[in-house]
Amino acid sequence: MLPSPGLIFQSVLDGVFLGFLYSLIALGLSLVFGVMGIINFAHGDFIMLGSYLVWILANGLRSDPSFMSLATVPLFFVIGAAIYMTIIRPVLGKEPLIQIAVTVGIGYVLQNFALMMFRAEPRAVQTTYLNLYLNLGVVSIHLAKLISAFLSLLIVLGVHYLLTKTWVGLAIRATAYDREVASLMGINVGKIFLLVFSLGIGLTGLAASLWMTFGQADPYIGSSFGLLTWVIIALGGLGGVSGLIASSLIVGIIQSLTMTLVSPTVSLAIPYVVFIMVLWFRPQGLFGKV
Amino acid sequence: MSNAVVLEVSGLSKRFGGIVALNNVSLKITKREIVGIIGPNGAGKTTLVNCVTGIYRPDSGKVFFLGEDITGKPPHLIALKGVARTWQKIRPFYNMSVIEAVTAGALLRTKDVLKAREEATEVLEFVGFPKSKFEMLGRNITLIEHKLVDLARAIATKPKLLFIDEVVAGLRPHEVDVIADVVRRVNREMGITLGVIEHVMRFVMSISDRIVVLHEGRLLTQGTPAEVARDPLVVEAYLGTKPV
Repeated sequence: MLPSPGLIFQSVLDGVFLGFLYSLIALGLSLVFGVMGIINFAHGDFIMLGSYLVWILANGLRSDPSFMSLATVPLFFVIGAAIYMTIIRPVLGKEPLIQIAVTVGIGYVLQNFALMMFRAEPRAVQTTYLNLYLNLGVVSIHLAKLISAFLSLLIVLGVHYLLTKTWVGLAIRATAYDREVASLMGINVGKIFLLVFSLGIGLTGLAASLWMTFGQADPYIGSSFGLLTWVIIALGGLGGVSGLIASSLIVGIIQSLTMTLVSPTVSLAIPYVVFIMVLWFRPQGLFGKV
Repeated sequence: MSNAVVLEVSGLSKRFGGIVALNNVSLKITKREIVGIIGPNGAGKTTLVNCVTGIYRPDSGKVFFLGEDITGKPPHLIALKGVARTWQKIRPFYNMSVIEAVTAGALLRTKDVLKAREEATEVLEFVGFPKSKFEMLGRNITLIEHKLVDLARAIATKPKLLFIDEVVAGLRPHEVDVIADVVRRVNREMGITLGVIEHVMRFVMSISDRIVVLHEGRLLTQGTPAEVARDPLVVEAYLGTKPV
């Protein structure tokens, strides 16, 4: 039984929407890694935490999850700053194993906290203004997914503009390439790190509220977000926003097609299989330079 | 005041485990001087610069810049006060264009990116970097171009004192002459005081007003290039004692 072209097209379209949201998530992760050299294994878990917060706020206020970003982004920015000062800064320049242990630890603390508070069942927001479908004949567009994709792209491009056209951006990039040289060019590397980590976590607050316009919160979504975004970053090759968006879309589409054509149960596994196959042929990533 | 002291280092010491990299070094650099800092490998030349620029915190001793105690201050504050350096090993921003890298330097004195970019253009033209390559990425340019960008990046921060760390290492003889010319012009036309760490004697002897010789972490001697070249202590440090 072959699936209809319409079904496949619908699936690709949903994958594209999902991919743009992934690019927003991957952006924060790749900023923190690219500038500070810290692999934040808790990145996805901040989205999980944010999703619960959005769930509580949106249900409490009987409003749309996307509006909750007005609260989650500043709050998570501050949480990011606090975590940088208390947990990340002390392990900067330490061995990678110590840094990994620290961020994996943060992730588990967040996961267990969520399990304790909310238990394991998935939670969805009741009120959403965006749960509408635009029927275009062959495909229908879920308004929530369209808007989340659009806002994600907007923010990714905004951050790209910040990095390439502003003095803060140049300072961030100089720090990423060589923090010692940057410091002797008058750049306060400590402040740049604080800003980048806070921004990275702040962006998870936005991703969480966009995710909750159509997705659900459960204690384990952090792991799937986290690992999928690592695949995206590795595929894209660090550095360029265009590579990041392209590989996000590829992962989103693969995942969506797997759900439609194979089974939702393997929708996390197939992107990894593709990832490993890509590594055989292009170890530097699809869009990375050697 | 042409004799104003720009940098004064007194009793500076730095240890790494059991190795004494700098041992009670004192020296002065006065305004608009070009001071060559020489010595065999491991003499402590780069350690001295790292202690002055805040990369290392000295174990003892003081560093005064324009009369102000800057000992142990963080590098970005020292840069802000007007000390810059270039690096022995080239350390380009690989995925930044040449103009962006130098603009990042100019942003120390202004937060206006367009203005910083104009200044970066001027500095790159001053050091003679080819205009056609302004937009090239750091990974794609030649060695001497890297050295020019490194110089431009430091000059763009508008320093009063600039350390140049083994800038001609690995260059061909005619390229050394190009760099020597740029370094002299940085000193004369821009009025920047220079500390030149160098192994290539022909280069450092020809551009320096004064030479400071370090050996095994100590200040061995100092004087004009001619004096230093004749000094038996210096000959001994470089070549060892005469066989008996």
